[in-house]
Amino acid sequence: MEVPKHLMRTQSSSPEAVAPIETADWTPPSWDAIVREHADRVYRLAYRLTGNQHDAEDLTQETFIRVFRSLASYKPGTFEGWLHRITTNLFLDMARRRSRVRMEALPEDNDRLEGDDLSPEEIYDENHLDPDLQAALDELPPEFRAAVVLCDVEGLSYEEIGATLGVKMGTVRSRIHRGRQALKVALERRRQESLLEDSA
Amino acid sequence: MTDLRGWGLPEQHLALDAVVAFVDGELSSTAHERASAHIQSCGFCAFEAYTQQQARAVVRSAPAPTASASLLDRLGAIPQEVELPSAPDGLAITEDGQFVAVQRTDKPAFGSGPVLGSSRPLGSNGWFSGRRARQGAGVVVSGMLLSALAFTTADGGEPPAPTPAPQNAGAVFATTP
Repeated sequence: MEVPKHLMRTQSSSPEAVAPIETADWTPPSWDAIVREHADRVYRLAYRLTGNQHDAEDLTQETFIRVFRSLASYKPGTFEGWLHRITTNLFLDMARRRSRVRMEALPEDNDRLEGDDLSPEEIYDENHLDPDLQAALDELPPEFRAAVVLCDVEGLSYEEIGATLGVKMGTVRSRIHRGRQALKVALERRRQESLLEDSA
Repeated sequence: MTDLRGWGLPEQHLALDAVVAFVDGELSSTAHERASAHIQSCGFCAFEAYTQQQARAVVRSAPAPTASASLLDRLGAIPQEVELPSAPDGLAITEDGQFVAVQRTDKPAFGSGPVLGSSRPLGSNGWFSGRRARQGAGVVVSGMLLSALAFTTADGGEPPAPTPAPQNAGAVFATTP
């Protein structure tokens, strides 16, 4: 028993074993590969969080800029989690800033006035990406929306959501629960409104 | 019934947090079985669970938007267009957009003056060799040119005269008034 241990020790102190292993195993992907692999996922999350193409594209771009700037701190294997965290936190920051602006701004500035031109792409999105669901999601407070979207769009576990949002498990549970409940109520209300409109 | 199952008072229901965790399969197996048994006999909790399931199904089945071609272009161009406050620690981009590890030195961040030019020829280690890199290098080079120009003017506009700079500079300042 002693001999193998001793041998192992000498082996591990041999030059080969001591040689730097920083570059071992993992080859960093090219920027194009990163974009190709993750753009759709980030955009999907950004779209369901922000509720429109314009903000979703801005949020996606901002997320990738952060990624580019801090690639050095990236540890292989956590890329998705990292992207979720950056996207969600940027969104929450943005939502908080906007709600402050909305509170201060008078009269209320409506983003979608009649004169507002939508690009063909935006019109397509508005018609095809389940506008009722998106409108119902938009009604949720940002923190609840984020929890629901991370759970039901991204399919994260409660633990992952807690890590993404930096909150405890109990908070994750109650945000998802209350978020879904509010979502259901909003969807129901919209359905009845459209029924009334149709019959009128 | 509920009494017999150990759920206390008959009108006692699952905590709402437990309902959501039950629906998402986030309970331990024992807790899941207990919740499941309760839901089978309790209309209120069954309805709560159903509401959660329904909302989840709507979100899950929603079509997934995809990034537009123009957005993909913008994302791809980030390395060329984004100003790096400092070079990413230990990472650099090669010409074909590949990230390469750079040997760490105790050098401070990019832009902190003389160290960059003097310690290592530009581009020798793969730093800033992409397009953005060339822009950055351009700035540095033009900076060096400027300082070179400053020195030549300080040298006094008479190139043939190879007199030591300090003396000459003093002469320039002395003759201006």
